[in-house]
Amino acid sequence: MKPIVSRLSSLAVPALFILAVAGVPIAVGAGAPQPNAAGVPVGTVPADKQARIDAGNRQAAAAQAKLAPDAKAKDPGAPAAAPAAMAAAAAANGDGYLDPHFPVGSGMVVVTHDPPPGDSTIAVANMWSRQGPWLFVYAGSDAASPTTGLVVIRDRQSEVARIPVAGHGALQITGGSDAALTLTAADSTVLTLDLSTQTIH
Amino acid sequence: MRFGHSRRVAGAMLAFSLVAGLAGIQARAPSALGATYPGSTHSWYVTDPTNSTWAYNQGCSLGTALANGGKPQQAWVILDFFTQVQASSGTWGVEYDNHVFHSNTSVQAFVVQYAHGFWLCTGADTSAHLYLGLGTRNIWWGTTPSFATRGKAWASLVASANSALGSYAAQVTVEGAIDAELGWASPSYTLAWASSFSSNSTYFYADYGDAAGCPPFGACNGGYTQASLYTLAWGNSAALPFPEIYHRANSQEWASEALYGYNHAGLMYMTGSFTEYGAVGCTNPDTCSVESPAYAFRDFAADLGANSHTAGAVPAYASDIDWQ
Repeated sequence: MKPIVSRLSSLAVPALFILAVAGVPIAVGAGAPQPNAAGVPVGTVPADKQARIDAGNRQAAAAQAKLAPDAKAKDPGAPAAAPAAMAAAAAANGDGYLDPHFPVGSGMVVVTHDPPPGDSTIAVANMWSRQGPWLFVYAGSDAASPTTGLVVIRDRQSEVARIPVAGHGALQITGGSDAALTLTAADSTVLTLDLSTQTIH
Repeated sequence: MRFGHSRRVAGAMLAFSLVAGLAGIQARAPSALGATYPGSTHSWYVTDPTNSTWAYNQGCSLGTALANGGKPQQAWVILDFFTQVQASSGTWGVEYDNHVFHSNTSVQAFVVQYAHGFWLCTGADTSAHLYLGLGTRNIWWGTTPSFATRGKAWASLVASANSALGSYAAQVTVEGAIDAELGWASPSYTLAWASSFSSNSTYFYADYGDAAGCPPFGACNGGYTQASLYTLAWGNSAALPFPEIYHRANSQEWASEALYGYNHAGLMYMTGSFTEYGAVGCTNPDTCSVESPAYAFRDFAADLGANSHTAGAVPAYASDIDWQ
């Protein structure tokens, strides 16, 4: 613990600026830190956090000390191309998909069972996404009613449509285009998801 | 922060540095007296970590703003790389919702180029310092590898990124960060990740997640409690709270969380307030569905300041996330 209020109180430096440099919180108001109901002094940062602050400061100071005076002047600026390590990683990454996948329109269908962010209501069979603007279509079944097909459409920010399909079982995306996706149900019924109207027929 | 103001800050920094012998150091920890809105930075949802030029340009843009006195001299920025993934080959990386895998090599190179741009474009303003949060989210696909293993891997990535900074480390520190949403992963998963990060890292992680449902409104969502949220956001030695303040209710939830800390374990000092005004696409703070960075900071400072026990926890930073 590093109570600093009394140590710094005589400095003619605004407290906020002191904090901006030292990174140690102090209690509002004058006087030594007071304990809270649990006996923990207020106006201190725990010693283990302080150690991390100190370590980071040392690292920055060391880098500053090693810096050549004209380092910035000699820097070429923006990279003309991706750094070599990044280019090598991209090459090794292929098209980047770890799961089975196939193109549909300008997007890609990925065979994944991972649900949409924060949504456990759909058991996903596969999903289609495209960029510009981002759109994500998840096909599968209602997690609480596996015989009910379900499609969830999201943009990059939130859900934009949820379309249940009764009577045919789980759905999966099997083809289509940017305008309409082909859905095949568990009972082999073929349906079409119109992305402009967000309806299935 | 205006130009004249930043010059006074620099003067104050120098004065304190001389007194304390701490020349060249910067803050990356919470501070208590940030009641004046410090201005905000852009944080980013990174959907294409291969675009290193974009990263460089954004870092340069921020560096230029700091050099010109248009931003605080210490800045926090979070780069959100979405879900942490380990490929079957053992390679660690990240995936956005389109499930395209990018290895940690790409992520690190992206971060370094952001730092490069910042460092170069601050020019002669070598007092400017950036805390660059390398962010992920507590959405994990599958339960293997363990969450402790994942937390350790993220700590390793953060350490590796710092090592790769070279000269830029004089003005940039890479920290961890996690968008820990109570509605995404269970407390046991999230806390295992966070605890492991903390015990395997000398760097911080910023919790830029939510406290949805928590007091004063009821019980925290997702099986979390104020106690578990305290551990996640402050109790772990690496934890710094940089909470989402999208609405006034979020501000009240986190102020209540700060008071919980005061009463039970020790006040949690807020590092920053985090908003999504840009990501939502707003241009008018008076009509937007979410709070602007300035409004969020104002509300958070007011809610923390309303109780004398938490008044010292007002954050020093503000950042607003947008899409790459």
